[in-house]
Order: sequence, then C-alpha cells, then structure tokens
Amino acid sequence: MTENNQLEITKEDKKNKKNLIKNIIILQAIIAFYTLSTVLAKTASSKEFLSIEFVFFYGLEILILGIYAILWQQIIKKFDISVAYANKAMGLLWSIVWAIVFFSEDISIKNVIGVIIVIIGTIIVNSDDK
Amino acid sequence: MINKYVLLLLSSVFIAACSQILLKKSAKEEHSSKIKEYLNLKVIVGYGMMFASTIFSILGFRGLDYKNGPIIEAFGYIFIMILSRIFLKEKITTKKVIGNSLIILGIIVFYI
Repeated sequence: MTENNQLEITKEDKKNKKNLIKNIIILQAIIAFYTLSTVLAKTASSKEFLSIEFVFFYGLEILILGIYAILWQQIIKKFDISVAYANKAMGLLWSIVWAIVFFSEDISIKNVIGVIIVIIGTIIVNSDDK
Repeated sequence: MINKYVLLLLSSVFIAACSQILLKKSAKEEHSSKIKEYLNLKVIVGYGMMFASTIFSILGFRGLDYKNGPIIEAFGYIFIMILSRIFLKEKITTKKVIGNSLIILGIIVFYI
C-alpha cells in the first residue's frame, strides 16, 4: 500500500466518522421531539375519554407522532434499526426533565443513576462497528 | 411491579417494535419517489400499528406515573434486537449485547 493510499483511507475514515456524528445528532434531535408525544399522552390520560380536552391533547400527540414518523423513516436509512432504536434511550433523560417541568413528579437519585447507566449503554450500542 | 397498566404499556411497546421492523424493511427498499417511500403497504401497516400502540399506551398511562412510561418503553430495545435479527438479519454484536444489557441494568436501578 502506498503512502497516498493510506492518506486517502485516513481521510475517508474521518469523513465517515464526521457523517456518523452528524447522523447521530439528527437522530437525537428527532428523539427529543418524539418525547413530547409522551407528555401529551400523559396529559390526555388525565382527561375524560373523548372529552374535548382529551381529543385536543390526543390529537396533538398524534400530530407529533406523525411528524416524527416522517423524519424517522428518513433517518433509519442511515442506521441498523437495532442501533437507531437504541438511541431512544436518550428519551429517558428527556422524560426526567419533563417529569420535573410539567408534572412535578418526584425524581430520586436512583432514577438519575438508572438513567445515566441507560445512556452509557446507548453510547456503547452507537459505537458498534459493523 | 407487574400490573395490568404495565402489561398494557408493554403490549404497546411490542406492537411499536413490530412496526419498526416493517418501517426498516421499507427503508431498505428502492422507491421510485419520496411519496412512495411513505405510501407503500409496509409503511402504512407500520404506521397503523404505531397508531394502535398509542391507544394501548394511553390506557396504560391511566395507572402509571409519566416517568415510568419511557422506562417500560426501554423493553422495546430487546424486542427490536431480537426481531431485527430474525427479520432483517441484523447482527447481534457484543457491543449491542453489552449496551442493551446496560440499558436493562439502568431500568433495574431505576426501579429498586
């Protein structure tokens, strides 16, 4: 192998890595957006079934899921489905944030440690070399 | 703790996991236009299943704190890893096993 070839391969590797990081960031943004649908699901669950308020919050949930689905169909072209889906674990982090912000639910230190372990697991799945 | 609300949400997660397999099957295919990437049988059935899963999750959430939802949804990672191996021939690699095991460990730590 010539020195030029090695240089080319290194460049190619860097480009691939940059692309991967870009795709992971896009994937993460889509997942953060998705978690808003669970906020609406929880809100709808506290309303009377098929009341106007229920339909409003459930409708909003479906709207967010619809947009998410369109975005998801594009991003899963770039990953194994088992890798793309594992990234949803980051939704856990968002759920803790929303639980505090919107629902004033109590969060324990165990909740936080659990979330951190789940996030480390997600990072390991993302580092999977095919 | 397993109760009917947890089971309802788990059912929702399994239905959603099956829909992901259909969506990925479609995403791997060549389509003649952007519209056809969405308007094909696999994607329509996949989204239909996702819709059904939201009904199950709303019923489940009636008896669960909001913060427990995404924890139960984490079981989807196991469902997906197995289903993608069977139907998409995606490899179950060491990193996927370690990563997903940590995800399960995280869930256990969250619950105890």
